[in-house]
Amino acid sequence: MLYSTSGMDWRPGGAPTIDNTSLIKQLTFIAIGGVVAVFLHYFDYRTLCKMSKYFMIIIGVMLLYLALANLLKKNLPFVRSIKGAYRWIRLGSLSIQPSEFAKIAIILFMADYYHRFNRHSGNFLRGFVYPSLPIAGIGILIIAGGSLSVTMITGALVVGLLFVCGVRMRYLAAVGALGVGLFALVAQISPERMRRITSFMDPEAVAQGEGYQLWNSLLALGSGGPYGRGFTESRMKLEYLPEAHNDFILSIVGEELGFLGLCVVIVLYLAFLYGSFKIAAEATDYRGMIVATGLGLGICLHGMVNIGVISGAFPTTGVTAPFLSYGGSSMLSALISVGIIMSVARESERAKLEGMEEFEETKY
Amino acid sequence: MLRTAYQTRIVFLGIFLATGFILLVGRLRVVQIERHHELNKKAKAKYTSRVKSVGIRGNIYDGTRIPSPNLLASSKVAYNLLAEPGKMGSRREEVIQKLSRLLAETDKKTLERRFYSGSQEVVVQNNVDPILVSRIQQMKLPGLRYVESSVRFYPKDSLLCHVLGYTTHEGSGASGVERVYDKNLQPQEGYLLYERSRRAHKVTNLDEQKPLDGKDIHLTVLEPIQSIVEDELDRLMKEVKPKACYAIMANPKTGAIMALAQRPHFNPNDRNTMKPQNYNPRFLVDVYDPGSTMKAISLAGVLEHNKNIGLGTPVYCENGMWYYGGRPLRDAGHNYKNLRFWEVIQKSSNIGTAKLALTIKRRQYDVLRKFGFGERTGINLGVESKGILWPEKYWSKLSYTRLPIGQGISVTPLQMVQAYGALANKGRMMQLHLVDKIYDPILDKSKYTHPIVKNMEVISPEAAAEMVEALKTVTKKGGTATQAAVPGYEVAGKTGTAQKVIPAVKDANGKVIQKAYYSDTVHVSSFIGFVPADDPEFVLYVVCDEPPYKFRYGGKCAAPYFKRISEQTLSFLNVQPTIKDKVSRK
Repeated sequence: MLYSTSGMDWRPGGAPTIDNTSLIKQLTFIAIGGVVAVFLHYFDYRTLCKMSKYFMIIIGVMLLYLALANLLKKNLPFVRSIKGAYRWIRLGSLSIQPSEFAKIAIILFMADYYHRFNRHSGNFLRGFVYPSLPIAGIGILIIAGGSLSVTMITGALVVGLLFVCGVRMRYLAAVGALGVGLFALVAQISPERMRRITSFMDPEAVAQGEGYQLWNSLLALGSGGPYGRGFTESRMKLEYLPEAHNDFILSIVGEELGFLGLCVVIVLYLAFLYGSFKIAAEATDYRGMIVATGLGLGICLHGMVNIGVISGAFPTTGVTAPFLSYGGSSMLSALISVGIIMSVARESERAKLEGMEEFEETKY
Repeated sequence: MLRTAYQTRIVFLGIFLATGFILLVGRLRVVQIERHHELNKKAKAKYTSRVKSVGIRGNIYDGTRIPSPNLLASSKVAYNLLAEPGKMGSRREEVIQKLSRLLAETDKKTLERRFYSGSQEVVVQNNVDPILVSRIQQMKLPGLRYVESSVRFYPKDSLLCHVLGYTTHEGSGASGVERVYDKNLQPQEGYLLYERSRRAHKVTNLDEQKPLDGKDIHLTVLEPIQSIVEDELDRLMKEVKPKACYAIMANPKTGAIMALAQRPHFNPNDRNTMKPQNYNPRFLVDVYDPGSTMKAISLAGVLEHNKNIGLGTPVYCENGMWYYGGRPLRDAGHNYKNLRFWEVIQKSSNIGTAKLALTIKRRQYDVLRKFGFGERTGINLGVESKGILWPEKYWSKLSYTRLPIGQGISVTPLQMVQAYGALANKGRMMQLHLVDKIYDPILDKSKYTHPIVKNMEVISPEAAAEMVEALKTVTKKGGTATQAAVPGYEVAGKTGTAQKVIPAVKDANGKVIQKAYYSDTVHVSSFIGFVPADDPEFVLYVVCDEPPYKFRYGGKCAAPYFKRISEQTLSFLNVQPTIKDKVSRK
């Protein structure tokens, strides 16, 4: 139940610029997400895992379509550029961000794969290369869609899961080295981009340019102090801090509720982490373990990167705070994650109740 | 078992993530607690704003008590018209066209230059009249903004302009009363400190100080009398055509200035009329050798200090030419033999005055100092000259015969009024002052200027009374200023026809080519007197600077205007005539 309540943390006082329509919209998403979560709770995650390759294909097609729009720099049907990025597919008044759901698909896919082939997990080809190929494909499509940060988080998530699945550390180290190498390459090729990435270290110097958001975010956090200015008393949300209701909502939480408030948020994320990992450890099969770990990891990684971004520990990038930020896809995917994790928990509960405490080893 | 390995790795991953979160807590601690003060200050600077609010500058009134004071200077609401050319789009040219047609002070060229300067916001014109503003507003032009301001306004235009002065464009006093009493007139600025959104939406007020209006100044000058004086000066300028002229009227019993006017003058509402020769307050800064008007002062000193001399004492006037100290002294155009003391005054004999003054040789300097010469009057109207009166140790033998007739001493007109005020007030000299009271609208209290006795006894009342008797003869038959006589009233007065000093001319090496000398053609002609002579309502000094040669005598160019001003003023003040029968008026 902890997971469901954490979803209520979304605060209506986010910013006066969001009128009630966006609040209602978000509440609608929470309601839909809630229904979906309850449905998934009663749905067998194992079936989902078996269907994962179809999800991968659907997501892949959507991402391909977006990548196309991004490459052509043109509004294709169902695609609208929002702030120069093509990340959303519009269906009527709804807009969906496929990259948010790609993570879930990947996790389900990995769970399915490693459940079936966990004896090969130490193998280079079968344990590492084969499953990585479709995942890398999705990753490339997300990058092509112009969303580097989401790709990187997804990459970290995948590496984390590969570690859990027992893939050899040296392969993972190779992936890490590849990432670092790519980063160095980018830095070499384009010092301009590099400078933009590293500008987060001194946002005040570029407060009128790239550092604008971050500097205002730091001002918001700093003026919050240890105990905050008080609920709804934020000043920086008054058009000073852009995206105050979205990616930078935690800056406002920090301003209104202070260091203490953000510590509570971190504790909640840690609790979520603990809960999902506990469910993973008690899951009745490898699928459940991987699914619960991956989904918990995904949400916590997002939260972590978001807090890092708003406090200037990481380079500024558009990452939402799960359960808190405004955004349908983010909320929906978080609640879907909750639903699936609950489904894993339900399965182990049921096993416990029925006295079938034995772990279900993979049958070959 | 594989499962245990999975579980171990899950725990590892969990610990790894938890460590990350804990590191973030550390990072937040740095930002939120360690840098709290710094960042809070910078954030506050962003979202708090302070706006000034300005009160209204005090008014200046005249000294009329009943029915109510006349307003002489006031502030009225105006608007500063600002424009944001970037918001006008394609209508920019149209805006320039329409505004330049409506605003007289701003032409098309200036507007074009400002509108295309690339600035986000430019001033179109400051202090635009509200009526004009409403007309501009009706045209619904884009990108215009109006900021309330105030503009100084003088309802009587040029009346009393030299005393009132004027203000700068920013609204602080630049000269005259406006400047000297600027601290009193100036409103106290208020402010509002508030928190706002980035687009200037007010959220909460933190602190507010309401502006305080400035204090009102009530002058001693009476507007009706001032009008009379100014009308007469205008007439003088038209009829006599001197270079300049001025008139000062004061109440000898209190020292209050009743009128103070000067020509040429300016209109403080119209900056085009403000040229230095128009706005320089000459009655404060001009010094000149006063000539014969000084005789009454020096001879009053003789009456005071030489008890052997009375009004009837005869003095031999050397047939109009007297050598003393190796230089000749003449009685302009007259050859008097024996004159009595009062006749010396009446005929304004230079020789007679010099000889009489020599009898108190050593006291002359004291007398002049006591009458306030060589010293500022302290009227408090800005920069004031103190005239030139050399200490006695610098005097030559000649000085003792020339200073009493008003040569070799330079005075300001105000000093002269002050000295005659002492004569009129039975030897008691009052401090000249211009401000009657300062009214504080916030406390609803007035601070009055009480008359200050500057010198209890410049000369004894007896000596003063004797001198008044002598001065009465000046306007009578045989006197130098019969034209100054006011029917029905006794006038005590004295003419002055002073030759102007032509400054020395030096060559390029600083060597004097031509010494300074008294001109035969350029004069300062004046008449000073008080009415009614024995119980005076006012002292009036009318001065003509450089009148045409045929008007060079004070009795001719200043006296008639003295009479006209006095007549009207007495009638305005409802003063009972002192001479009842019709015959004696002639």
